[in-house]
Amino acid sequence: MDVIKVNAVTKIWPGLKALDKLSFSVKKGTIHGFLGPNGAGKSTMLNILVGLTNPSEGSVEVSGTIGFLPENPPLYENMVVDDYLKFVAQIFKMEKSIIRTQIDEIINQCSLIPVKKRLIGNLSKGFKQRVALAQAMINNPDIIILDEPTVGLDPNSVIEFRNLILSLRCKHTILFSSHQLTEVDKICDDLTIIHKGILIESGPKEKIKKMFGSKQVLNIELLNWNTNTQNDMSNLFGFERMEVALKNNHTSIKIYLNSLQDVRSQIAKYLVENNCGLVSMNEERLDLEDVFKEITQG
Amino acid sequence: MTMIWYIKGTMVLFKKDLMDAFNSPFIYIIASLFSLIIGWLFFNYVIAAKDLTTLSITNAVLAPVFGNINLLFIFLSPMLTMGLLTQERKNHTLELLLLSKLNISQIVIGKFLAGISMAWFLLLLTIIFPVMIGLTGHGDIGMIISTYVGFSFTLMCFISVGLFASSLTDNPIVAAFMGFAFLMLVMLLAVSLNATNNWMLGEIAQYLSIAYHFEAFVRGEIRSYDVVYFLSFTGFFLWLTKESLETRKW
Repeated sequence: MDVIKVNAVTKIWPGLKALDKLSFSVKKGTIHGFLGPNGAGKSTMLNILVGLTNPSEGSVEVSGTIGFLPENPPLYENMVVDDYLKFVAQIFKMEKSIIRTQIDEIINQCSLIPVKKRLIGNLSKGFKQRVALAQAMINNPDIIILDEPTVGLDPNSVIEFRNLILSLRCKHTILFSSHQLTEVDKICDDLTIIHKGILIESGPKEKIKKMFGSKQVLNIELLNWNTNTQNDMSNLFGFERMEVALKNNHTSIKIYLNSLQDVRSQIAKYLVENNCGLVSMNEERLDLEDVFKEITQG
Repeated sequence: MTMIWYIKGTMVLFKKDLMDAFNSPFIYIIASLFSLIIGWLFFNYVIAAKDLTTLSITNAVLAPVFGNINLLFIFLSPMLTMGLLTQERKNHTLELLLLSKLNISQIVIGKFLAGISMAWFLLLLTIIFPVMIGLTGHGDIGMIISTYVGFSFTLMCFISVGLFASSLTDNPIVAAFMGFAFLMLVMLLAVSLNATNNWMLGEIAQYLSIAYHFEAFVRGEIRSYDVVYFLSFTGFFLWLTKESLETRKW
């Protein structure tokens, strides 16, 4: 069942077409990733979904209540966490009798107990983001919409936040936007990708991964390198493209692979067996922007 | 929407803004500045009054002090209101309010009440002057009451203009200047009508000026058409604020 349905939404800002006939849907009980490079129109679309912005054309159908965590967390810096959540609960017209228990439950769920009595302005960015998520969950919405929730967090906080989102999936449908493919790859079931306001693809993650994200890119540094090895490897592993650069006395090569599975161990084995002097090899994670670069270049 | 929720929701926002205002040093700085200026003026008028014999002490001291209070509020009320909506916009909390169950008119009224309360806090500091005059046995209770009623109305106008200005921008300084500029313009209508020979235009300019309507209250007169003027002025700017918040969607 679709809880969110976007039908040919167009949004025109003065002098800019932010969204162009965008259509997609979000299934109930899934974590749906909404991807696009910066400026693709993600925030505009999410603002339209929650009703902060009206579409120029088209319509959205939302069944159920929405909790929204905007790109910039809506926090009162001079309020204590507990008071802030109470204020939010009140303006969301919650029954007085259940406000206290609900806040305690959410504080628990978002691991905010140690900072409950502290001023929001003095909290770290990670905690602020969690307070903002708590705000979005306060009235127990059916759908939670998160706009780039992990931007600017340190790696540990990102992992904690990601686990927090995963823990919500049993109760809520989650739609969240990001510009990092790896980020959504870890937690999403479905994906929608947009670019310059136009829908690129929408559907189950596995299907989309095959189209965009599956190409492995390897950075390898070698001491010995010649064109024979290059041709040999090309035949063995089937590269899509290879960039070779000479750095000091190393050769650094960048390989774009076609295959879907991880071939790092085979390549390493090959390079060692042929005495190429393998110094380092690492996998480059493709940011969505790189993927788009790939698409537009190819 | 039920009436009870309308009032309750408005009060939640009002209480939050009131706490904000009185927990920050800003209002106390304004209040001390205000008391200093008004206290000094009061002192001057009292000193000057001892040479005058033709005027009653109410007219020689209180009337000009009250006029000055009103003038000062033209400068001060945009400062009181400048943060009300600009801060919400800057902190992105306006989105939270707009997404909540509060409707836009509740937001506007809640903010307006918070602004009025701040202004009244300043105004209460001035009560000491009529009380002092009253203790000397020269007070005119009727005139003092009608003046404070008049203050309530002019403050409503000032705060509604300031609130509208703060809905237009996310910069508090710009909001304060816009509010101040508009209030000055309306105030100056009373002056500019002296320059016109057109009787009709003069009458219209006079009716539109806040000062003209306030004067009657200082004389101890409460006229219904002044009340209508103040209420419709305030209502108009609150409506503009509401419209300004609504256009965010487009």
